[in-house]
Amino acid sequence: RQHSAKISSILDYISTGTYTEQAADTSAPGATIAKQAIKAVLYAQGLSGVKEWDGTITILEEMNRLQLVPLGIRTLVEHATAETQVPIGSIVTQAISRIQLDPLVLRGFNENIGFDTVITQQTVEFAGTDYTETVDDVTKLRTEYVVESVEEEIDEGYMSSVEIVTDVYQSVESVVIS
Amino acid sequence: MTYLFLLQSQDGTLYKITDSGMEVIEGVEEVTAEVFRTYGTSVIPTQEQLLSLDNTKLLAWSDEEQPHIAAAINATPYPQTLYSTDYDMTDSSILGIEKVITVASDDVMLSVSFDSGETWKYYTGSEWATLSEDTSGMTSETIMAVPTDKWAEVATTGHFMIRATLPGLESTLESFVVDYINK
Repeated sequence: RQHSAKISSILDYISTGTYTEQAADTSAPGATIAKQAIKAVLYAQGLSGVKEWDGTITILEEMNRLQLVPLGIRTLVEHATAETQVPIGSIVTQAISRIQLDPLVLRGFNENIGFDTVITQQTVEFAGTDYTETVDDVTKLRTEYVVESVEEEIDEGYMSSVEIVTDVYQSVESVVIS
Repeated sequence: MTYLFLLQSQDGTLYKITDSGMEVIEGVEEVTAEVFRTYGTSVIPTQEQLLSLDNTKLLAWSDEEQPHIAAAINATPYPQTLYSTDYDMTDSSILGIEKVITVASDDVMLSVSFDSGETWKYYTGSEWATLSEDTSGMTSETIMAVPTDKWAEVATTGHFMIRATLPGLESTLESFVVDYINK
């Protein structure tokens, strides 16, 4: 935009003979995301105006009033939430060609830029047992157990059983059959 | 739906439920419908009857439909030991362990292994020692006080595991985070 302003100033000078500094366009930069585009990338540099971009992206999607006679649907407002994305690093290689400065020869070489994720900490997860439970991220011993009946074979009618295993516990406070 | 109930001990002995307690049913080797008709009771056994034998099996019978019963047990388990997975710390950005931050009750016993659980270590306050029991270890306060240079003495294999033993109903383990030293 500043370049365009300079060019406008020069063109104006050529046509008028008087150099007048033309103002750069300072309107808010915008970008358009194609319809049904899954993802779009906005580069900070491209959004930079006359001052440093503060990282704000405003997304506005207008949906016109829909008329379904006899029902009227008011204009819809769609909210967009911007979330931090983890960038996918890709290696950039810049190849420098062989350079000859007689009688010196500088061999060609590659310049690489890599991307690495720095792992700063590890949140340790524990495998629970049948006798522990985790409620609201707090793991503790479990005290309540429910044993459902299982079908058993019998010569006539129907039989089920519930096995009340007690020796796996330090103590049993209560057993209620329902 | 009314069911008929019998109790069976771990060795297969059948018991008839009576008003005063339980009686062994003699001479019965197989549970049949006739056994239920003869000795069964429609009264659900009491808690005392159910707990008078170790590992009791409650049998329910019906001639009309499959009985559906459930036992709600309130019990205190034995101390439980939880293990983490074997975490890899060979990433090039990791130079070592700086410190550990954990939220756990004072009675939770913690230990750390750098050989995939073969041996477990705890910090005495001045040096590392190897544990011989599955349920012993150090408190959260102790493990958080291990200085970085002491972590460097043992964190040399590129991986680690954490073990936590919850001894009682008041024991709680909320979080465990290992902070790495980075390039």
